[in-house]
Amino acid sequence: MSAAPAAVRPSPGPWRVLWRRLLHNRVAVTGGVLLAILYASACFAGFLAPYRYDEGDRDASRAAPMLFGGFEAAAREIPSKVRPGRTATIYERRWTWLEGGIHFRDQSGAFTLRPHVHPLTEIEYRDEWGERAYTRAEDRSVSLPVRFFVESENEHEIFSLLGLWPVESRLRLFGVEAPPGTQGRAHVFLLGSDAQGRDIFSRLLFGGQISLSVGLLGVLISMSLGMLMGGISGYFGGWIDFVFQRLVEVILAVPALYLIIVIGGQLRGMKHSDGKPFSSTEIYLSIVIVLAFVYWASISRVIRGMVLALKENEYVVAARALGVPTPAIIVRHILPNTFSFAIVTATLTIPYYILGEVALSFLGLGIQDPEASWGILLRDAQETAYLVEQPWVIAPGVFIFIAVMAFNFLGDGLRDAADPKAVIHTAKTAGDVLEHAEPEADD
Amino acid sequence: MPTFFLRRLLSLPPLLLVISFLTFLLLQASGGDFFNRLEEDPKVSQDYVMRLRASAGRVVPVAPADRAEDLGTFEVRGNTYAFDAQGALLRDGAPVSPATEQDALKRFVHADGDQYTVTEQGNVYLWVGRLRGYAAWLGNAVTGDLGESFQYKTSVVSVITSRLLNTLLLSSVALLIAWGLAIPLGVWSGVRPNSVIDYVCGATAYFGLSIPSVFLALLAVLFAYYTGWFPIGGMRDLVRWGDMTGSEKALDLAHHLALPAAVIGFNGLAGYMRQMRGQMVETMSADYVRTARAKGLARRSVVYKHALRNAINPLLTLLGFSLAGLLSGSFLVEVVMNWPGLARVVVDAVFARDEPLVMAAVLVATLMLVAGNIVADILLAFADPRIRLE
Amino acid sequence: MPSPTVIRRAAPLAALLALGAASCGDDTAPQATPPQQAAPAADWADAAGAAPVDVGTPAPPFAPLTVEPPKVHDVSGRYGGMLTWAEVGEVAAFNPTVTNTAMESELAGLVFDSLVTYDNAAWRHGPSLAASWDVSDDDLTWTFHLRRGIKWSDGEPFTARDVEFTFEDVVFNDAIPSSDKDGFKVGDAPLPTVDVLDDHTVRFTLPRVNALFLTYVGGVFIVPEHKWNDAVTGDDPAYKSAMSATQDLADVVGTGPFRVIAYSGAERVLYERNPYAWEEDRDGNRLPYVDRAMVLMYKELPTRTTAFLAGEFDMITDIPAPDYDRVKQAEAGGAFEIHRLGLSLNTNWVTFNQHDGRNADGEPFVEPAKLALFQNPDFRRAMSYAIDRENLVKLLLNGKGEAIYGPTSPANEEWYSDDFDKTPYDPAKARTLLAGIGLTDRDGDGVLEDAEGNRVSIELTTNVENNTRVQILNQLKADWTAIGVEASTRPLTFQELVHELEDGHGWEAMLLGWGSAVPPDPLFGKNIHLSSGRLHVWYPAQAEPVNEWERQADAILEKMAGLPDAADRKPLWAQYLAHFAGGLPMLYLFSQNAYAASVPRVRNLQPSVLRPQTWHNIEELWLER
Repeated sequence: MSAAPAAVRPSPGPWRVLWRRLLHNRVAVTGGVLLAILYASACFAGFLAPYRYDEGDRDASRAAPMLFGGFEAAAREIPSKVRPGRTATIYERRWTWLEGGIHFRDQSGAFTLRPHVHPLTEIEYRDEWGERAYTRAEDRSVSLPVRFFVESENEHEIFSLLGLWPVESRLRLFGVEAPPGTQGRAHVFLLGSDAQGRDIFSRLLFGGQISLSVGLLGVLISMSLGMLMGGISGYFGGWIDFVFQRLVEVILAVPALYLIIVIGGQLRGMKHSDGKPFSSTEIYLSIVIVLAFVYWASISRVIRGMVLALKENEYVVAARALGVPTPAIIVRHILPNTFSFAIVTATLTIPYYILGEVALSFLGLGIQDPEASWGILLRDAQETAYLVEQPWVIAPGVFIFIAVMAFNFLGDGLRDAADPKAVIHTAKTAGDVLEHAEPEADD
Repeated sequence: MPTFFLRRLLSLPPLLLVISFLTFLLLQASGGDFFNRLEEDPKVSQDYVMRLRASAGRVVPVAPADRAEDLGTFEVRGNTYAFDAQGALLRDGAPVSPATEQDALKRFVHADGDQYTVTEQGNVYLWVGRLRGYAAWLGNAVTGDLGESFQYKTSVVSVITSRLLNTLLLSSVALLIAWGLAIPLGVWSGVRPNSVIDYVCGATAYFGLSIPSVFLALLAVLFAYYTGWFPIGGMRDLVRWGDMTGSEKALDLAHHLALPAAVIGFNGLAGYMRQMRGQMVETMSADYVRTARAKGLARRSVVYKHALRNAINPLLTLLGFSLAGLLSGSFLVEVVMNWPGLARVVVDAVFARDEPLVMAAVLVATLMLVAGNIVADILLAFADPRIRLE
Repeated sequence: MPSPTVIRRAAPLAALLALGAASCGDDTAPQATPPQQAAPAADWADAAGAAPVDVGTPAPPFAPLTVEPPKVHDVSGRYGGMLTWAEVGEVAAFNPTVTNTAMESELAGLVFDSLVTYDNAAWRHGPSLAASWDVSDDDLTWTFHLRRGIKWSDGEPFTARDVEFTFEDVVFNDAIPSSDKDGFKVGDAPLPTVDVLDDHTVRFTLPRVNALFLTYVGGVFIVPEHKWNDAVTGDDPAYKSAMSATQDLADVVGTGPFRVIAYSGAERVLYERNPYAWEEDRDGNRLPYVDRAMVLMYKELPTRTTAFLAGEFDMITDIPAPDYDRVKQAEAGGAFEIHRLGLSLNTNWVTFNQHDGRNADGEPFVEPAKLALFQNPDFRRAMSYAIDRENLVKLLLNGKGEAIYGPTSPANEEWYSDDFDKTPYDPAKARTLLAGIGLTDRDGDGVLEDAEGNRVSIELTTNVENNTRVQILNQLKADWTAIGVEASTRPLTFQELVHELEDGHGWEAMLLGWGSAVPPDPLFGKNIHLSSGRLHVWYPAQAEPVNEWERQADAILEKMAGLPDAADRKPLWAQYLAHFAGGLPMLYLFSQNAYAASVPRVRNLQPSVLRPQTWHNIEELWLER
């Protein structure tokens, strides 16, 4: 069809206009840049992270975040409760802000531009009741330099895009070398370590691979599904429309979170026909599919409405009169007109997928330890005891917050940029989708 | 309007039917059931667990007299079994103790496609298939009997009712907080677009829209712990509750409510505030408002008499939707802050495989959502006379 | 309800009435009652000068009662107050026969009594409803002599008929699913018979010697015949579902120290002194001292600990060892005191699936190559050597626990024997053992292969609800990977796990734990150790012992089951422990330290490592004002 392109409205023009408008929106650009950083850091997690997500050092559990300071251990003599008249030496630790942790003094105490860390030390002692106890703090007598572009022992993936085009190397952005006497104690834990001595920062970066891609993949699937089903439903009408719309109604009638949790609960016990359980990749994909399944319905409903309006447009009527086959009309004339809506909606709904994964994993129904995702990382904070003693375990919450906010920034910018006059109709419907999704998909 | 209402009501039963059926199938998708848990207890016999399953309707006992006819002669793992007229087990025609045949007969698929269990004590049970199970559930459900919770051993309705009320209490207080703050703040910043107040409110709105409620709830827990101003979780002081007077109870409840309600309210606040501001900006630039201002009417009276009244109408729809979201909005906050609401029950029930409870909770949540949407539509019709519901 | 002063004045009258009843030939108390024990009411009526402490006034007051012989606790205290503590889990019913959880049966002890009781502090049986008992030389005839004058909480007299009813019509009733019954079954012998010799004497005739007979008798709570006589007949007796929490609480009639008076959702149970409670302190004051007891129910351990630290209740038991440091910090404030109970009797273990059966599709449960390894004791020993247990204790319990190498925790001083082969952390030894059975790294990828080139890989599973266990899994994975065994983890929900254990049999290695029974007698674990046991996890419910090791193990255990005297059984158990260490079907990992805590106002505590650690002597506890 050579006549068709001339009739299609979205010439390169409007896209360029949209792009230019977007670039002028400072908030949107901020959002975009934040997202670029987050996604890039997830892709390059293997390179940026000083450790693997499942690499734990048992002697370095629950270390404090070195970015903000460090713990110092101090000995104290107190009367023993089990041996009257004797004393017991106990070790207490004291937090010092911005002292210890990452610092800029070398072994001799002189200032240097190279960041240094103290090795971690663990003191075993018996408390006044004779109970065995440990204090974990920094050995302030030693300063170890943080080196950049270090080589790790084994080859590992330094770049990954959903597991496609993996790049393997031994290179890491930074790390700390363990000189003799500090083996097993030399670590750089920017955001602290968890109970198993795994670096929270590294797990966060690797966790981003899952949490951030869930949004993209999920939205891709639900958008395609929503546009396809909505397009077919709106264009053909009749019984197809009736059946599809009833299906959409059923899905929309169940609160998203309830649906996600019930399906998630079943997924956990799912097995292949040969009795083998799902692998972590399969669990991940199931989560994506669950989320996409829950969220496609509202998109399809809006697309249907738009298609209903568009199919009466002159150029569609004309194309039909010219004998253009139906699939071609849908693909070339109708769907392109829904793209700006689709992009705005996609950007604004990705946060719901991210939050959906967080909710599932937080409740223990999604990604399973030792895999890392922001939701499973946040699960560590669920125990109040753990949370109040290691408040840094809520760090993943900050990342989720930043990602969601960045998507909102960008999405709002896109909505404003997408031809405010002509697309006011779509903008409003996009808003409707969100308003509808909002209360049910709080997280 | 009445037709609209009637049509929505009529569409409800088939909707619930489909949803309950799909949920029922879904809940049986993976193996195992609630009663597996009991089997781990060394003190509980297999027959006891099967009897519990029978009383829960998951299996049906086969009376000794019916066994020979129902099962006939059947083969499991290479052995041929049958029952005699008294219902005793025979292997290759000779009597055999069911206890030693557990390897084969603990649960097997009969040639007719049904699954059976022959217990150690020789009782025979037929496992109820999915369709039959659903039919039985539905039969009870239409009479208002949603079954008994496996965990709580009491009717799911009674389990859900009390929890639902707790959740509704929490979410409605949160809703009050959200709307009580959103409207004045939205109006305030809408009247002075691009002022400092507007920017502060706008930033807060972004913050509130983007901060995940789990995260905010965790921060609230930390806050409560470090300041000691609020209880860390729960809904009331369990020990002293029984001895409290009415007003003490109310005070205690409010003390426990404050943090979770604030967290949920803050999450909702942002959206409503942005909407209110948008409406306000739009109406303030409308011709009639400008005319009123031009006529020299006091700013205050223009804002409150003319603009606000018109700007608030579209928000009524939002109110309807927020009613629909009452149950889900508080979900994770309830889990984090130990609020004895529906969320905890649902999560526990999903983990414990308390199927009747999950079914009922999903249905209740669905009903709430649909009802909220209907209310939203009706409010919309009130707010905008141009919209006619049909 | 009369005010305290009224009671004080009314007390002598009550005492007179009680004496009158006794002397008027009440045939349940034919013997003359010594006056000083006749009416405790008389004691506290003139207690002002005579008694060493002011015992206060019980509210609600005791009803007059004369028990002969009395059960005297060598304690003193003061009446009054409400004792509160918290449990994890839920109470759904107060039926003492049909209980679903250990917590429910423990709490049943507040309302009901059994013939004999177990003293958690002294680790031995003591009299309760039965004042004494005789046993025939052949250990087959047991005669229990009941106390006279005990009344049910509804005022009806307690007699030998109630005991006969409880055993014959309730516990031994096939239609009532009671776990108590199993203990009285020895092999395929019939159940014991119970005969009422007179109103206060009951005789049990056993068809075969039952080593734990007294223990199982102590596990049966006696229920009132007059209340439930009509509810135990037919195929579906009403007793089964009687006394559920949502029914009339007045139906929960027992002889114990308390009555249930309120139940609120799944949040709390409120108990009040049973006016007919019959035990006494050394001054003849009736017990319990506390007027009311409240049990709060929490869903999770951490929430409960946090609530205790916030001062929400008086006592807490089973503080998880990792919480010790946090709780200890709060202890410094003096608001409560931690009871350090030493090593717990609970154990954690990992085991390998040795089931050689096939599933419904004819597929083997476990891949043959792996099964061959799992069935090889050298492989299991190697895997055990590869586990750094000390590190597990340090990492997961912060040092509050001990590595263990066999089924009995060293804390079980009565039954532990140290005379067996242990497998302390030694990866080099593990590698040597593995090489000895032909497992070496043939392709240099760091993972061992067998002669056919099959990689040695194990899938580890546990229940996902337990965060500690999930962490142990990850440690095991690391330890085993270090010696070249590829390990993966797959946490399941508890339901799914039990399903796998009982029916699926598809698991490879599983991590779980055992709680300890009271009394901590290893014979309780016969379901675990006998090859026919349902919880013989590595190969449950064997029709015949599948190998020589199992046969020998069964022989030792069966010998033990015929010896009623614990002293005779001890050397056999030591022998079993050594035999177990030889086959090493399960790799025991560690036990954690047990901690309980209470606020200072709770007095007379005798904390014990046995459950329920703090309130096993609840009659004796009193609250300081």
